[in-house]
Amino acid sequence: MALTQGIVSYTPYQVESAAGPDWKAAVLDGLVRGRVSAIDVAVGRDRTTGFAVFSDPLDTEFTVEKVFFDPLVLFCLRVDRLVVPPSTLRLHVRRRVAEVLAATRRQRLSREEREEVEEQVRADLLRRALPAITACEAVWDTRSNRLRLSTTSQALNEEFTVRAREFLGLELRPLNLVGVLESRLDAEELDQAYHLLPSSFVPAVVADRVSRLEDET
Amino acid sequence: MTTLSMADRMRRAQFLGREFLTWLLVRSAQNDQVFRLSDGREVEVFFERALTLEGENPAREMSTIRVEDPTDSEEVRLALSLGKKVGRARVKMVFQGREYEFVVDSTLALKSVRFPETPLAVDPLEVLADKADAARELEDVLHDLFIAFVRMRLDPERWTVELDEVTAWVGGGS
Repeated sequence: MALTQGIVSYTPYQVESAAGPDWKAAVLDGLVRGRVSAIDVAVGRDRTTGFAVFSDPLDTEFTVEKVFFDPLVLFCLRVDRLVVPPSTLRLHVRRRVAEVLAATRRQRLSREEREEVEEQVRADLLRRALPAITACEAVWDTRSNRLRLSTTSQALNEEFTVRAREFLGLELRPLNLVGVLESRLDAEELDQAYHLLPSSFVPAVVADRVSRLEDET
Repeated sequence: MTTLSMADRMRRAQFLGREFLTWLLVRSAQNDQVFRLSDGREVEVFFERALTLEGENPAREMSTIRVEDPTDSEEVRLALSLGKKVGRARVKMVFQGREYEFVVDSTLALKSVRFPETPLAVDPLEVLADKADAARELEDVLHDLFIAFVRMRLDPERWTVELDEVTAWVGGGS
């Protein structure tokens, strides 16, 4: 992960779901079912998300040997995105529009026709583009039942928790402010904590001075 | 309350994260960086180099102060005395002789974490397992400090005394 590097940004989770006797088989099956697939440009997609192998995120052929390293379970969340740079798209659209005008002997295209051309050009370019790949490493320590994902992106973490639940059967509690409050306080304390009002750390003498100034103005 | 979404619960409770980081800064200055955990063990917490201070509406009122030691900065005290609180800090934590450096914000998110130096291991999986142990220790200590703060915050008598001492420091006391 990033955990293999010197400096790491990550999001920790507590794995809340209990592991059944065949949990390794279930996890392996879930990784295979939830692995990253090709981007389907034909249906208008320019992005895909899924699991990939930890040691080589280009590899999606999961095996026991590539995933389970007692006490660690290792895999990746991979996000592939196809991007056409706006300046490139503009140039190709300009050429295609010129071709259409020449072929139809017209002076200009309607707005709708131009948008249609732009969409076709974009789809053509996306089919030829190489995806930008982001791999976020997931390290699940089965001793502590903590799982760490090497990103702090809220969007990627949301995708990961949904996918972990859907494919791996894992309920993950993020160990952020709310997760810590809800896992460490009892019900009464938690209710009180959610009803606290902010405290002021402003010294009384400063607060009085500010109040007087506000009154004067 | 847990029927609210995570984002709503976070919005509701995030002020506790800002208060926690502010309390941690002030108590670090007052207590020679030493804190006692619930199990009696000690941890040293040093604030370093950069501190982000936020007002009630962080989207509008936010400033980052870069100083060698934020606990010894008049600029930091001034910002706090004007009602700002710590929203993000660069921290060094020493626990049982092991040193962690990280950036923590008011949601307790951890960024740019540098784990303790470990002897060079040949097996990369051994390195990962060691890092998982270190990560757990860091998370447990930080969460322990946070929960100790929240429990104090829920006790009106203890919090009144604590708040007096924190505001006295903000106002220029030691």
